[in-house]
Amino acid sequence: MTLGTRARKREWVAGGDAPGHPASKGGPEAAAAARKLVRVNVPVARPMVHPPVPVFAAVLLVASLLFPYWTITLYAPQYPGGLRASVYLTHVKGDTDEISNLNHYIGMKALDEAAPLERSVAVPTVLLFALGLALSAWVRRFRVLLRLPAIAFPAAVVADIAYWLWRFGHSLDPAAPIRLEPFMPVILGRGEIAQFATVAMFGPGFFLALAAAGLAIYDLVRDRRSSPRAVTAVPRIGGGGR
Amino acid sequence: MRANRMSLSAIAVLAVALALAGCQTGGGGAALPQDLQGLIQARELTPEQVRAAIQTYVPPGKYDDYLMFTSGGQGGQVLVIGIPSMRLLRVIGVFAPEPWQGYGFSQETQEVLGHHGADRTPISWGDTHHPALSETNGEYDGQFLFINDKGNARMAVIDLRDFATKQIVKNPNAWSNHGAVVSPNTDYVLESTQYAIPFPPRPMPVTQENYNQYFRGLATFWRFDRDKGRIDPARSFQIELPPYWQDLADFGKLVSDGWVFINSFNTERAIGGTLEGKPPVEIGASANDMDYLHIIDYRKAAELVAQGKGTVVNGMRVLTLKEAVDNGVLYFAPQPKSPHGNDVAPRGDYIVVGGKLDPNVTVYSFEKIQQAIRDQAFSGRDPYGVPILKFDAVVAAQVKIGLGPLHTMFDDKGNAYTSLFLDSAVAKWTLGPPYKTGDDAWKLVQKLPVQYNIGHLTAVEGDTVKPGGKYLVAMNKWSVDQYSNVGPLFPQNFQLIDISGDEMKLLYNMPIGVGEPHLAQIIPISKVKSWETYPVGTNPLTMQPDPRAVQPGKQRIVREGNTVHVYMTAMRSHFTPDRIRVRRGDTVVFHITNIEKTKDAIHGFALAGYNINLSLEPGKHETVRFRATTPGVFPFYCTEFCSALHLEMMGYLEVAP
Repeated sequence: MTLGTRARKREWVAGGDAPGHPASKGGPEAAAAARKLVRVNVPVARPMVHPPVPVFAAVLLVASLLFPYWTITLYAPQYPGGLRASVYLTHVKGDTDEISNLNHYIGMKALDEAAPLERSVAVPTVLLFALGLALSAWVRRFRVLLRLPAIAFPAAVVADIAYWLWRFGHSLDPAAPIRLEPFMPVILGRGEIAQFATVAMFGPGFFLALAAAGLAIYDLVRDRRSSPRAVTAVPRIGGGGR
Repeated sequence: MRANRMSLSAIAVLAVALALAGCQTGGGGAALPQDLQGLIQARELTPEQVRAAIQTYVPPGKYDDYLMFTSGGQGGQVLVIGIPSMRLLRVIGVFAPEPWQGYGFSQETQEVLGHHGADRTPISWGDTHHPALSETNGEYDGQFLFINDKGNARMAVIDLRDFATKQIVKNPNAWSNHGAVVSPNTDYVLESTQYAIPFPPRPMPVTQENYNQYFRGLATFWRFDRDKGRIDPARSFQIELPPYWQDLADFGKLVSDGWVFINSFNTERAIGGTLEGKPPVEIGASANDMDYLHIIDYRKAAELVAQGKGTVVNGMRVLTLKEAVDNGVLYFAPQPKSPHGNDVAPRGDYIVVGGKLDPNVTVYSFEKIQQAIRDQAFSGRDPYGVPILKFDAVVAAQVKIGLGPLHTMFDDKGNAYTSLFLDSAVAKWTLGPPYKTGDDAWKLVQKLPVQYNIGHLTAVEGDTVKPGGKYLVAMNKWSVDQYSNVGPLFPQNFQLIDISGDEMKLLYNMPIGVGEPHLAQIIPISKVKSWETYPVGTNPLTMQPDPRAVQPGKQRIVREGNTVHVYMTAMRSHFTPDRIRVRRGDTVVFHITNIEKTKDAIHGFALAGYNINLSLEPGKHETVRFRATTPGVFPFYCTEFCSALHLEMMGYLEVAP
């Protein structure tokens, strides 16, 4: 992998296309030489990004730690401004005490009881995934493998949130004062629990992670289009001359 | 008939204007004015009344522009009222137990309220008179409120972060006081003794000789420590005064900063004696044509006290009358008989005194007072040697405004407003230069009848260096025919008056049915930065985290000898612990923290059988201590409806025999 505009790459080219080669000076010798394949250093063909896309994606992924992945707002007459919980990878912020307190009436666990393992490993995991992403810019051999965790990450988070919502909705304390049928809280959009209307949506953290995954995929696809094909295409040009 | 039609068409115009303003969605625009017209006609309202109604109407969910802090009179409370809606927003317990707030039941508030009368019984009432908002550079700063208890010579400090009383100090050398006023930066809160008693206080026959020789008045300067939010009695001082009844006071400001002015009555030193055929005090004390305005250089007094002058009487440093006179601390100026009201104009240049029994307000010039002192322009000395400044040398103007002038407030346009007790009116009149000049100066502008027997009045920031104008409230002693009869104890009558225009306009009547308020003060609501909840575990007395605050999961019952400490939390909808077992004779101490963080998630804690009742606002930590003298099973419960399962928020105290 190369950096900057002066970066070069060793490739097979038709002799006539090689700069400074006798073929480029014209004449019959030259014509013959032009048909001969030579191995030269050529400037890298694809446009350069500063910094390379996977590194940028890694930064987005790390930054996502600072923002909520999922938010839920509960509206009820006696809470004119609504009650908010913002779920980060590491913690829950907002009116969590009040929401947990209300949850106890229907026998739902307190918010901070959710996903203890996930929360405890969130930071090293994200850093590791981001590191993989960043490394994939240089380590070309395993680049798909290195990027895969980061690409799968947003979906995994959504799945985990869904799991915990399901679990919360299906492990209601039977001794709770208000008994509800087990239910699956809404993960995206509007829902309803007792006098509360809920609005759930993904937060900026999730979208950052999604963008990181998107960039990683985009970069992979583009990478496949430019460099690997150039390698195979050149001999075909040369062969055509024979 | 014609007048009737005219007023109806005026109403129609107003109603159309209303509809246009309120109904921009169009379509049914024509129907609304007719509805309104019908409503207005059915209620027989005049255009002025409709206008007043709109002006004072604060729609549901909207806020008032101003807060009025008014004394609650004999209720010993402070009332907080929104303006212009005149809705009662809060009652603050101050000098009397106030069960809703659990005031006087918790250890914290019992400490505040713990004064005893001469007979050693706890004082359970107060006569709140004069609220005074704390000031910075002569303007209300919305941090503290002070109020005096005339009935027992006490002064209270209320913290406006939580609208709760934090401290009450008792004047050790008096049994009555009048007035609470603050210096421009709230270094001092001043009270004057209303009724003189022997000084130092001691038993003695009330004879004229004793009265003249041993009775004294006092000006008490309570030193306020703003950082601590407390009056510091050790740094407070008193100035001994002749036994005239020192009445209302005001601090100088700006040009007159450093001075204090107190009016007085009964310079006749009447002591009554109705049973012995002598005239009652009301006659005896009204004999002289002139009483004395007290003019005090309190900065100098404070310096003298700091130098160690004066004596200590009952723990209070007192600058003696002789020291005050000898050092040029105290001067008198004659004022028309039995005056009331004593108010310094916004620039600090004039002192306005209501005549009460004289139809004039007498306006003293601070500049002239200073000149007269420099010139030694004395007309004589009183029997105690206090120099009396010449009346003509110190008076700037006398403005004849009506009968029974009492208190004066100011607006932002150079006008003064004085209550006329006998006329039952508010007089609007103009100040002189530099407020108004030429023919506009010292002139009665308007008299607005009020219902009835007005005492104090108050205007928006009307006693500060920057009056707000806009509204004035007349505080009437008699309501007579203004309200439905609710028995012989008639409500007082507050009347909101619009003073923003050239003419004063009466807007609204508000009955007060909890006591007879005296003074009130009005502050823009934006200046008061109160808390919605306490940080969890806050001791309301210190406003700091309480070391004994109870964390969730740390609730426990600890026995130490014969004392049982219950560390309890309150949270919707349960107390933890909820079953407590003690033995007869144990001392039980409840340490209760409301661990809620949600505004308005208030709990109460009431324990039957032991007269225990607390209010636990979110985050508050309070303590209650009692001896379990009687065996039995006593339920305790939450007294503030907190949730759907509020009734279930209870527990049992078992006192084993």
